[in-house]
Amino acid sequence: MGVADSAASGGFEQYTQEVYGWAYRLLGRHHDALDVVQDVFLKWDAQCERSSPQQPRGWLRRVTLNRAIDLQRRRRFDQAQPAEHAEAIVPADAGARLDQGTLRDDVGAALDGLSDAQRSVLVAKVYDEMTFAQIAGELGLAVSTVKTHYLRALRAVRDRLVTRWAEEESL
Amino acid sequence: MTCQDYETLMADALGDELSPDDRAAFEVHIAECEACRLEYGSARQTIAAMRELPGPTRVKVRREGNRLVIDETGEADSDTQEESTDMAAGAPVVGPRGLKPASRLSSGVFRYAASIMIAFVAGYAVHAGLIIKDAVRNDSGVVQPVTIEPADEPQDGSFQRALAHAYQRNRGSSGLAKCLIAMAHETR
Repeated sequence: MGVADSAASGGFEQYTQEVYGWAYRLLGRHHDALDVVQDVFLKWDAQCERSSPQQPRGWLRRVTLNRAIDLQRRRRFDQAQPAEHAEAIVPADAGARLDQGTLRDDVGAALDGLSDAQRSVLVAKVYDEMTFAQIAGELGLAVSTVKTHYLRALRAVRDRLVTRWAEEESL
Repeated sequence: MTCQDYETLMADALGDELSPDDRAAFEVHIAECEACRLEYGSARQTIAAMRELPGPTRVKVRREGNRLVIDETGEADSDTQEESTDMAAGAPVVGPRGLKPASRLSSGVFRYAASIMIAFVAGYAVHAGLIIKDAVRNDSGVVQPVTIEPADEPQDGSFQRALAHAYQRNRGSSGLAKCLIAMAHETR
């Protein structure tokens, strides 16, 4: 058991930063990403007690995506008024200079409004630089569907940022 | 062609997956179509803005019993940081864009297909027409030499003999697909 523990934890440690990064990009929140890392670690431990995944990185990425999507759905369900939540993160002082924090808020709010598939596709393309074919294989979608998700997700984020850019120009 | 017809090319262009031929057609279109040109430009700005965001912070992990303890190092893990800074910190560099492309190529399907091709390439035929020697993988995945005399007929339905016969009957046809199809007929 000790050997299995050592092997499992050693195997997971080398991927921890990646798992955290994937979760962070999907969720946009540090503590939510940490929660996902913990969940994935527990699943990794349980899996390694049966048999180590032949492709650890692919296995971890799939599990991370699923856990992040689950957490995102729980977050949406727990929100009483999504519209109020969106308003709360828009800077109250529109005349003030917008900074990185509000950019993150704007992008984060735009990502929150996407479907699970759209968000997964957009994050995988923009941050992980996966090909459409790779993303399609990972999500079990047709390549054409992935491309459609990508365009729609980009448009949604762009629409959010257009408001921000217009405000900046008016300063 | 309408703008809708260029949607796929737009996605490919924004995903940096345009083929040279498609790139030429796409560039002609956006030069002529203001709406698509604006859409492309704004989408590019959006991608750039997303990539400006600081990446996830660097974390360190240690195990305490059945629990994983994750500590932040306080260092940002961002493309905007100099790689030398990350290296000096002694931590592996994993930017917000994930691993380098080479590490994503090692899929199980790719390796399996490569091993099959190597097995066929590794074989050779003695053109006397009398003997074929080849190296094939048995059911356990172990490469073993196989010698088949022309007069030999397959005595059993083993994969090795079926594959060697398929190779013999399709001598000169090195296509994997042809050999597999012939093998399928052979083993019926």
